[in-house]
Amino acid sequence: MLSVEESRTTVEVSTEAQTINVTDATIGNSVGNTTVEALPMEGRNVPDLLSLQPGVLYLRQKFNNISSANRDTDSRSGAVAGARSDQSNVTLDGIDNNDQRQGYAFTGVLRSTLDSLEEFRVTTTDANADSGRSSGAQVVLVTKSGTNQLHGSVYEYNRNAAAVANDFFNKTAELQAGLPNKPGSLIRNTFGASLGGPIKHDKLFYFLNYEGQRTAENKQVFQSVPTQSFREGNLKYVDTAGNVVTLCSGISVSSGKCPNASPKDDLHPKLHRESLESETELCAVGFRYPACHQHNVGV
Amino acid sequence: MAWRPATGLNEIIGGWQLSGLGRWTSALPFSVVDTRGFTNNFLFNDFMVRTGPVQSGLFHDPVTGAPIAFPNPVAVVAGVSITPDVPATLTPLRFAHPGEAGSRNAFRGQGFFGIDASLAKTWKVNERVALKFAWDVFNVTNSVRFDTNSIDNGSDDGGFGLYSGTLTNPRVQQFSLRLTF
Repeated sequence: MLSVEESRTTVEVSTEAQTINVTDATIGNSVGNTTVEALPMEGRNVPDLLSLQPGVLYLRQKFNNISSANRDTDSRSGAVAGARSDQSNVTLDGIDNNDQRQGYAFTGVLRSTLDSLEEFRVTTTDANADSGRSSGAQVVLVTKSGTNQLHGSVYEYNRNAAAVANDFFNKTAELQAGLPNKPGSLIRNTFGASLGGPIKHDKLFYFLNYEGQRTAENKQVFQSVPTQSFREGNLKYVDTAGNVVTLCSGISVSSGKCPNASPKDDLHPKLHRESLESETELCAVGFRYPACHQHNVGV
Repeated sequence: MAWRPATGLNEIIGGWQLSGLGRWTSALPFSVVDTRGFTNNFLFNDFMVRTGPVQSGLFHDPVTGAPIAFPNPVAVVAGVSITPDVPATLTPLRFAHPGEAGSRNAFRGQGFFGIDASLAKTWKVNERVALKFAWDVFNVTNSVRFDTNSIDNGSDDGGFGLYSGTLTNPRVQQFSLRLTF
């Protein structure tokens, strides 16, 4: 007796990365262009995609204030599974793209734009011999190519001061100085266009991408400044008994101020310098906490 | 979909996409440096050695509210006091002995935390052309995490234990338009 059996073959075509790697010991992932364009990417810097891998320490790109850690110059940023950031290896289409001078994981020496990126592949640990030349992350960037169809994009990214929050230390300093809570200025426009297409059908293609960035950002700095009393011309020192004594040229200082002192008094450079080195003359508006803060002063 | 809004309405309220990234790390380490002597290396100061329990992380100065890494920074270095008539108790920190490198990364501060989000909508202009609007917010929660690297970690420093920098950026928003074909 013959039975009719259905014969079926399933062919799965997938452009996604393999979820389980059964061929070698490498650990890592690849990210395609669709994912890249859908994610909120700060600074639109391609190697930042490395931060999406497990085991990677990522500090943000420095923003327009002095107090935040900097992704690009902090050697902790880009440490991958314990390997320091200068152990990473960034390649662009197979060519060495490492910044030899700086040696940080998130900066390639050739700036590549998100729009020119077809694929981002990374091996965080146990790289194979074809990629590994160092113990850190192996970052592989593959650029886009043109196709038989004409494709392209035009884009504009805008950041502006209306939608930015204030830095913690800047805010504290402003509030303590009686100023309004006002963040630093930030206007950043990133714009560009890309175009790809055929030159000779199925044989030769082109792909072009231009990206520009215009920024108008200010930088906040903290400076050590003379106290109000010092600006009025009073020079103080700590005597052997620990008392703060105001120095004046032989005139009574019962008022606590030197006579005839002008607020713009230009002190002798030497005196000026010496007194700046004295803790009693400076309210610590410096890179310490912006309050005049007393703990441990005088050690 | 059971309910379909009218075409014009769908252009406005339909098809929004939300995507996001979250990053969260455990606390980063830091060391306390002996600023007084060079027990092993004539170029670099050694690290202090911990001899008793020391609590570290994020605390606030009771007077100024300033962010500090220890609940009481003065007490942390009190054991190596050079004040006359006050004997050095060498606890909870002591100097590294000659031959010792000291305790590197003995303390923990704060880790990184940040959520970035993007709300986007794509309009099909025709078969080939699409316009995408995206609203990206970086550090949605506007969280502040202080940087262990910025801690004043010199044992004799006047501002010992104070944080002066953050790991995180303040919240920033970005608006974008993209035409693709």
